[in-house]
Amino acid sequence: MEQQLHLLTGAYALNAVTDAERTAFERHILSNAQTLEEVRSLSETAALLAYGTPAETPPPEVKANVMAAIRNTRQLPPSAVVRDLSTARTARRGTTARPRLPGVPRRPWMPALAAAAALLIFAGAGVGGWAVGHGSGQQGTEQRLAAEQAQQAAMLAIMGAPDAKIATTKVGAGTLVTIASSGQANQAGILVKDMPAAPAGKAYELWFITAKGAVPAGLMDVSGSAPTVQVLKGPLDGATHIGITVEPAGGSAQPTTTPILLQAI
Amino acid sequence: MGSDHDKVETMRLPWLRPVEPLAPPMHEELIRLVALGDEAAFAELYDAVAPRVFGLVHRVVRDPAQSQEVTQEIFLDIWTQAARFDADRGKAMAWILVIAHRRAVDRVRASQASRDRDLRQGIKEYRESYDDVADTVETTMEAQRVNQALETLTGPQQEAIRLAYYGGYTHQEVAQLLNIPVGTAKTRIRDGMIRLRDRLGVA
Repeated sequence: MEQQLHLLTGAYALNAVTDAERTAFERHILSNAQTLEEVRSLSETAALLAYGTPAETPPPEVKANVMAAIRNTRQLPPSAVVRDLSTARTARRGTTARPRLPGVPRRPWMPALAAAAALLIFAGAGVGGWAVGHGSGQQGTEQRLAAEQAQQAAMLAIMGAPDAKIATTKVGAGTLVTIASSGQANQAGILVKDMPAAPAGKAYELWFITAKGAVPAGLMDVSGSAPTVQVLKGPLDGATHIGITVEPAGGSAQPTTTPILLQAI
Repeated sequence: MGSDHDKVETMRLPWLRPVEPLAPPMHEELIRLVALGDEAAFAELYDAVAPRVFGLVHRVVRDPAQSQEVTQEIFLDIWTQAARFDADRGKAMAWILVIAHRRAVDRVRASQASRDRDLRQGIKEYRESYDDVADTVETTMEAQRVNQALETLTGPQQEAIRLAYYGGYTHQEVAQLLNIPVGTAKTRIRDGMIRLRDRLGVA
């Protein structure tokens, strides 16, 4: 039975287990780092599945009820839940004590482990899989693919930095622009989807913006509807915003038009 | 170019202020404020994430009135638990969606148990509702990405994962619905999720 439990990672991540199985499984994974890691990654994947169903604005009374309810609801203090998993890992190595979920009283709808897993995982969820779909035109030359992969790798490095900030903004009718930046990496990257081509004779130019002004960060490579990934040219150097303007082909030394996007970073 | 240059130098970049709304505080920052009891931040967070939460809950729970109730419970959870979210450890949206899915599944199981649901009927309804959903156009990048990734799974893997996640069925119920052994359902879900994880580039 114990050997079978590790096969339950997928079902557990999807909440497709009974309460009894959940309890047994949680006890099992606390003493099994490999299974724990699989659960973490599959739980993150499961959260992304929420995007596979259309968003839907709830009726206004839901918000009214929620806002009224929170006025009478006490908030819980921060707890040690977050540390549970690392503690459990250490305990597994260091002692023979049976690992236990410590801390807050268990709530039937949100066991401590699920809370901890939810807290532990998902750096980059929502944009983590941006590379998917990128290769829809797979006829590209090897050089182009290599260049793209280099950009993707650089973008991943930015997104993976401990202080990475990621923001997605909708521009115009349907263009999605995701900007990732990291002060530590001193770089920023951009992912655009469904960006219309610049008007004839024009180009999209990227800018690092500080209180002192705008510094050119390269022209945007916009090609078709596939998502395009690009690392901005030059260092972040304390920029507070990233901007995109439409400039004459070849670019300008300073912005000459109002930005179509201005993202705080 | 000279005048443009001056404009930027004297700057205060005139367009900085009007476009400020393009850069709303990230969800993580809002949750930090919510943890301090900031009701305005909570309202803002609600507006930002409620459509995604309600879309998921409605898909799983199906009944509109119950979906609204569950959505209220979820946001009350977010309010109560906000201090326990650790931004260094992950994304706010994912944290919220994990809470939401668990709540939705708990509700659908509780209500299904009470009316002793017929699984055969369940899968028929489920498939019909899936067809409806598939017809609607989903425009977000995340939605396209997830659906494209799902399409790369085998048909049986997709079906098992969709039944489990969107249908709220246990893997035993999935096995029963698909008329396969429980062990097969378990590994099919796991194999599919691993493939999905790799397709979505989840580290």
